[in-house]
Amino acid sequence: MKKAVRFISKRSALLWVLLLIAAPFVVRNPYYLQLLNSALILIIVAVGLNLLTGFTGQISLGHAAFVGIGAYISAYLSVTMGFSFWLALPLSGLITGLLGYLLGRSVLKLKGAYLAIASIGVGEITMLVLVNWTKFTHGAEGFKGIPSPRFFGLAINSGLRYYWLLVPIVITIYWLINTLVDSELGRALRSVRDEETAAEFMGVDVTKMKVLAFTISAVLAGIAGSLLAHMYGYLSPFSFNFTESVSYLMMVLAGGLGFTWGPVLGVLLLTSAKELFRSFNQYQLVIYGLMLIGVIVFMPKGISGFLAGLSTRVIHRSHDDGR
Amino acid sequence: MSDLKIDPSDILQVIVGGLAIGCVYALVALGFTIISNALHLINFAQGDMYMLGAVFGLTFFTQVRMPYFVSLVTAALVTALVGVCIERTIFRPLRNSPPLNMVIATIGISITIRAVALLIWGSQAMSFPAVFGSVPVKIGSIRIMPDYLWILGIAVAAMVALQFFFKKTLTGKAMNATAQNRNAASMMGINIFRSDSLAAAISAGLGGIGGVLVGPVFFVETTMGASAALKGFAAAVLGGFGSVPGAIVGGVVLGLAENLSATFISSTYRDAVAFVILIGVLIFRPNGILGKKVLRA
Repeated sequence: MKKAVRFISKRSALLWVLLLIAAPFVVRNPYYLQLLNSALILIIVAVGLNLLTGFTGQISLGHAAFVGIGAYISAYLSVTMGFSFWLALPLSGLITGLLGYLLGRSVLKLKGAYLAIASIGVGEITMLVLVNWTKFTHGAEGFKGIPSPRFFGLAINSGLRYYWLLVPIVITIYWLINTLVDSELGRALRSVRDEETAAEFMGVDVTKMKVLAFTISAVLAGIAGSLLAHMYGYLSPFSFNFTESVSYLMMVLAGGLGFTWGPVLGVLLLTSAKELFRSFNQYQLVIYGLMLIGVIVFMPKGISGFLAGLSTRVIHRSHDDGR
Repeated sequence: MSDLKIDPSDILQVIVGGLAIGCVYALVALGFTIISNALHLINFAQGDMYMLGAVFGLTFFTQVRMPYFVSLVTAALVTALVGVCIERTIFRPLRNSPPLNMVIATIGISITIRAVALLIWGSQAMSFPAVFGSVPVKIGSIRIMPDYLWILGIAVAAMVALQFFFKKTLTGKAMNATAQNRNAASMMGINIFRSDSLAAAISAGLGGIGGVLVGPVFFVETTMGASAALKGFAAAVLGGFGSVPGAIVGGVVLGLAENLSATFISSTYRDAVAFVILIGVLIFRPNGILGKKVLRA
C-alpha cells in the first residue's frame, strides 16, 4: 500500500510541475499572476514551517517576523549598500537563519506551548523594532524603492518574469526539504515530534534537532521575505504581524501537518479562500478562526490526511473487490 | 523624561500605578494558571476573556446603565459563561488529543472571539466614562489618581476571595484534588467534569474582572486582548508557571518593571519590557521566582 501511495505522489509531482509550467499561459491577468507569485513565496514559508511544526512538532507564532527580517535585510542591502539582488537574496536568508539559530538555541529548550508564546514575543519585538528603528527601516512610513532583480541585464520587473524567477527557486527548496525529510535526519526530526523521551533514549539530540528545524525554517522565511521585498518594491513594517504568522500556521495545518504536499495544498486553499472571501473582508478572521477550530476537531490531519485516508480506503476497497 | 529631575512623590505615583496595573496582569496570569492546572493546556484565548470583560463592562455601564459595580460583576459572570461554553464544546472533546492540537485550537478560539467582537463593537477605541472621578487623592504630599486605588482594592479583594475559595470551601478543595490527580479525585466521588467547567469559568471570569478594571484607565478596544495575554502569560512564567502565588508576584513585578522603565528609560519600548522579561526568564530561569520544577531547564 505504501508503494501505491509513493507511486501516486511521484505521479502527482510530475503533474504539479506541468501545472507550474502551464499556469502562466492560462493566468494572463496581471492581478492573478501577482497572486500566484505571492502564493509561490508563501509556499517557501509554509514548507519551512511544515518542517518545524509538521515534522518536528514545534509551534512558531512569530514566523512573520522572520519573513519581515529577511525582507528588510534584503531591502537594506540592495538600497542602502547597493548590493545586487543575487547577493542580497542568499545573505538575507543566511542572516535570518543566524538570528533564528541564536534565538532557537535559547528558546527551544522549552516545550511546545512555551515556545509558541516566546515566538509571539519575538514577533511583537521585531515589529516594534521595525517601526521604531527608523535609521535602518524608515519606520512606519515603510521602505520604498527596492529595485527589481536583474538577470544578465534583463530587469525582472513584470509579474510573468518574476514568476519564472520564483518557479526554479520554489522547486529547488521543495526538493531539498523533501530530501531532508526522507533522510536519516528527517527520521530523527520526526522522532522528536512523536516521542521526545524515546528519541532521547535512542541517542537523538532533541534540542539540536529542534534548533536545526527552527534554523532551516528561519532561513526559508528570510529568503521568502527577500523575494517579497523585491517583488513589491515596498515594505511596510505592519504587514509582518501576528495575523500573518497565524495565517502561515493555518496554511500548514489546513494542508496537513507532516505531509510533504501539505504546505502546497494549504497555501493554494488559503490563498483562494482569501480571494473568494475578499468581499466579506470583515468576516475573514472569523472564518479563519472557525476553520482552525474545525480542522483541529474534525480533520486534525488536514486535507492531505483526509485525502490519504480516502485514497487508502479506495485502495482497500479495490483490493477487496479483487478477491 | 529621563533628563528631568524626578520628584520622589512622582516615583511613588509611578509605583502605585505599576502596582495597580500589575494586579490586573496578576488576574490574567491567575486565569492562565488555573486553567492550565486543571485542563493541562495553555489557553491562548485568555487575553480575549479580558477583552470581553472590558467590552461587556462598557456596554453594561453605558448602554444598559447599570451601576459600575453591578456591571463589573455581570461582565465577569458573562465572561465566565463564555469560558464554560468553550470548555464544554471544544476543550472537552479534545481532552486526549496531542498538546499541539490543543494549543492550535485555543489560538483558533482566540481569533474567532476577537473577530466576532470586532464585528459587534467595531475597531474604534472606546473610552470608559470616568467612574471614580478625576480628582486625585492626596496622601501627604503624594497625589494618586483614584482609579489606581480602586483597581488595587478590587483586584486584591478578588485574589483574596480566590485563595479563600481554594483553601476553605469544599468545591475549591475538590478542584485542587482534580488538578492533582483526576482518577483519584473521580474515585473519591468528585465530579471532575464539574471541576473542569468551574476552572474554565473562574479563569475566564478573572480575566473579565481585569478587563473591566482597566477600562476606566485605558481605552477599550477589541484588540486589547493580545497584549494582555502576553503580559499575563509573562507574569505567570515570571512567577513560576502553575503556581498561584507565583502568578500574583509575577504580575506585580511585571507591572512595576513596566511602569518604572517607561518613566525612566523610554516609553517607546514600553510594551517590549514584558517580552524581554518573558524571554529572559524562559531562557535563564525557566522555573520562575516561585515555581516548582515544571519546566525542563
